[in-house]
Amino acid sequence: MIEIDTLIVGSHVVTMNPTRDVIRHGAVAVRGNEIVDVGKQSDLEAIYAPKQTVGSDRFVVTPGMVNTHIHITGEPLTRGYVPDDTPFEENVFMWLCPLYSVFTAEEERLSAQLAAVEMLKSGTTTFLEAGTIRFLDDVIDGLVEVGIRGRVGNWVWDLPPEPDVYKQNTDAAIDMLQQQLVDHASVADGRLGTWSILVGHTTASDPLWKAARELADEHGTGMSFHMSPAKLDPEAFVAEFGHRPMIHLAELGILRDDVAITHCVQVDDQELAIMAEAGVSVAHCPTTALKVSYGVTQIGKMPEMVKAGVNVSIGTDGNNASNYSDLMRATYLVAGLFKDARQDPQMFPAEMAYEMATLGGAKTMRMQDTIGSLEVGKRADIVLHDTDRPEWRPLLNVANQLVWSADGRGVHTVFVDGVKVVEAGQMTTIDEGTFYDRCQRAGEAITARSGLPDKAKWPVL
Amino acid sequence: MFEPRDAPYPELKKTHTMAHVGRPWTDYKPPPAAPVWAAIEGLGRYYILLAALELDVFDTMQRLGPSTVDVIADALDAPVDHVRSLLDGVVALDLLDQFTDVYELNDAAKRYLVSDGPASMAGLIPMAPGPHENWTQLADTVRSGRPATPIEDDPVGFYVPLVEGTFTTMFRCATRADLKIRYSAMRAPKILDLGAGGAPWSIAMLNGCPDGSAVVNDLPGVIDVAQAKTAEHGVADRCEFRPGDFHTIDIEAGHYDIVVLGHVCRTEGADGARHLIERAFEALKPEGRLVLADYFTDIERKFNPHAVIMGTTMMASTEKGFCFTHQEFSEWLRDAGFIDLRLVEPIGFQQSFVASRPR
Repeated sequence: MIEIDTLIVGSHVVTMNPTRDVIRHGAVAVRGNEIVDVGKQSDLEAIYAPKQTVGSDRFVVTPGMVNTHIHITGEPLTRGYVPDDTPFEENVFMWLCPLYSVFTAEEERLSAQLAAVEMLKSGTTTFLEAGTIRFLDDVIDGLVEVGIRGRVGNWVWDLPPEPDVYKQNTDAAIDMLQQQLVDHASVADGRLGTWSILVGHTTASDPLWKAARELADEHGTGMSFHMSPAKLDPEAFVAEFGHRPMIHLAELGILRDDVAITHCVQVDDQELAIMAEAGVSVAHCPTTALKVSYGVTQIGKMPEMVKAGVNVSIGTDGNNASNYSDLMRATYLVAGLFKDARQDPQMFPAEMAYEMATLGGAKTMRMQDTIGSLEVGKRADIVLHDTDRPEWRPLLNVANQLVWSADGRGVHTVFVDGVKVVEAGQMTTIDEGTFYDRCQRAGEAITARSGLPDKAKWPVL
Repeated sequence: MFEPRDAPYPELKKTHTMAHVGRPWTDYKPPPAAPVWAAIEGLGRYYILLAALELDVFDTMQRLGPSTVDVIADALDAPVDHVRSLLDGVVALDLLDQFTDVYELNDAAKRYLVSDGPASMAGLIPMAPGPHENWTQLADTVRSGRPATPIEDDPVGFYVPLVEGTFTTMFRCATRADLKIRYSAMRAPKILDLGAGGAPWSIAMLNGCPDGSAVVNDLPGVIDVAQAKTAEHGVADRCEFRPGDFHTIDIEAGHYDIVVLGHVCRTEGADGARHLIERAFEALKPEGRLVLADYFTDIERKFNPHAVIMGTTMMASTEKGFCFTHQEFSEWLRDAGFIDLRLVEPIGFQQSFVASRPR
């Protein structure tokens, strides 16, 4: 018998391997942080002597999902405070920027932890951050404690003149970027690290774009930024340069296969071709597109992107543009939006949507060799979904039901890097008993300090 | 290799663009002098409006309807040329309409400047900047740390017309606040209104709560306005008037459902404001709520010019007064023990913190 640390068993093991095998009465053998075998439970029990066995026929076992765009600071502790009937520019400049500006280091740490807890408890084990507003060291410290896998980085820009508290000039932005890539290249055995992350949109000068590109090359990381959720970005680039954003970024040499661009709702066919040729990934945030009314169902080209070979993955974005960090809910929307928009049920079948949430995310994060599927040699990022719940019964088509029936509330147990971070729906790494009270108090303090009034339309007695 | 090049629309270039940052930038243009002129004209703009109010221009024009300058001058019993000059000045302020020689109230004037307008500020305008003569000695005030004629020297003389002038606005704010904080759903609330002025909050709350009662406080003399206003609104019989300094008057501990600090904290300085918040906390029952209305500056004290200028106004007019940031107030409220802080804005520019004493 071969000694292993953990044998994880379930009624269905959804491997997401190249042939997308789903193993009935399956099991996953884990040693340390690595998957050493995947197969029938009976076969693996005959080979391995585990220190612990986790799961039973009550569970569906899947890879951890990958959220490729989430604001872990600035947003989770102000979740939903911005009214949902706010136009895009007002949303960003009158609401989000003032909210972001009043966070303390402790609050940013707590905010990141809240985002991580919500992701883990809903089956997301890896994320790509949109950009820490100010206090990256504290944020990383908080994430280490929670136990999630991710890539983070400071909120880098050099054009917006305010607010003062996180205004950056070009030199300072480049210095900050370089410093984080050096200081936090690999944290917690590589579970956490930094990327070359820009705010994007129209907030970076060309020198900063190029510096961020060069730093990503130098340190072997990817690049991530927002672009073209609404018409504002293409209109500004056309006014400034005479052509649209992707063309300009391609001219600057930014676009390569290590680039993750968030939103990309307002792209034309020429831009789409450039993106496909460069091999970029797109982080599609369906809830944001709906809530901030980007028009994704009317003009979004996500189906065309996939057809052209662009890797489209899924993000949950910030908690004022998309109030949740449960990637299963976002995956549900991905499966449904274009079915309805194009009146074509073959758009994004459940299997494809789930691929986008796992393998697609892994590719976006340049981790396709280590996460995104349950295969030998990959990291043990594993989720057990509890099927003793009404939405899971009867269980007749696991992929269909993962996307269309289930959501993160059914997640029972989660492993990241072989470590059990969620057990029976509770975090093992932090004390949830006091955690939510701290989050509530911090959220109230931040909104009160921001000077933004409570616009809830219903009176609070 | 990308080379920076000229934008196709040079008129859209700014000193900082996506293509370039820093200096030198070849199409740099000097900033306009408009902000300087706006400051210079500020004095004249205010006194044009004040003179128009003193001459009863707006009420007269409401009575006359659209009229030529001759008719208006005749009604005002003033020389035509001087009236025309004044009216043109008011038109320049966008507070009257004018076509050839005919002048007419515009919508802003009808709403805010006639004395019975639905949101009339006619009584507020003469008082809002504080004692006018203090502005001419502002540099001395900054240098010495004390205004030449602080309001505290004659508070009754200043506050009586001020609270009369601000009543309409504050009453609208207090009435509409019910949409946010639903005080009218409370059963027989006991209200403590410290520095109540004309008692707009107490009146609004008592109107909304037929079984409610209020202790209304302000300085002797100023409290006469509250007595008159509460009588006018038919709620005086449910009010106890408690004249005196709100820092020292007797207040029952743990007795009230609502405490109101309506536009008083900014006259008191940081220590005074904190003391009032602490007194409010002590006065409230468990789960009682404080309503603290004021003008709050943003965290960087520059993005809300209205509150920033109000802060300067307080400095120019009072011994201790300044405006404070949302952050400062929220910290003071928490330090005092309050929880569940909310910031509501019942009408434009009128924000109020709402906070609860824990159960």
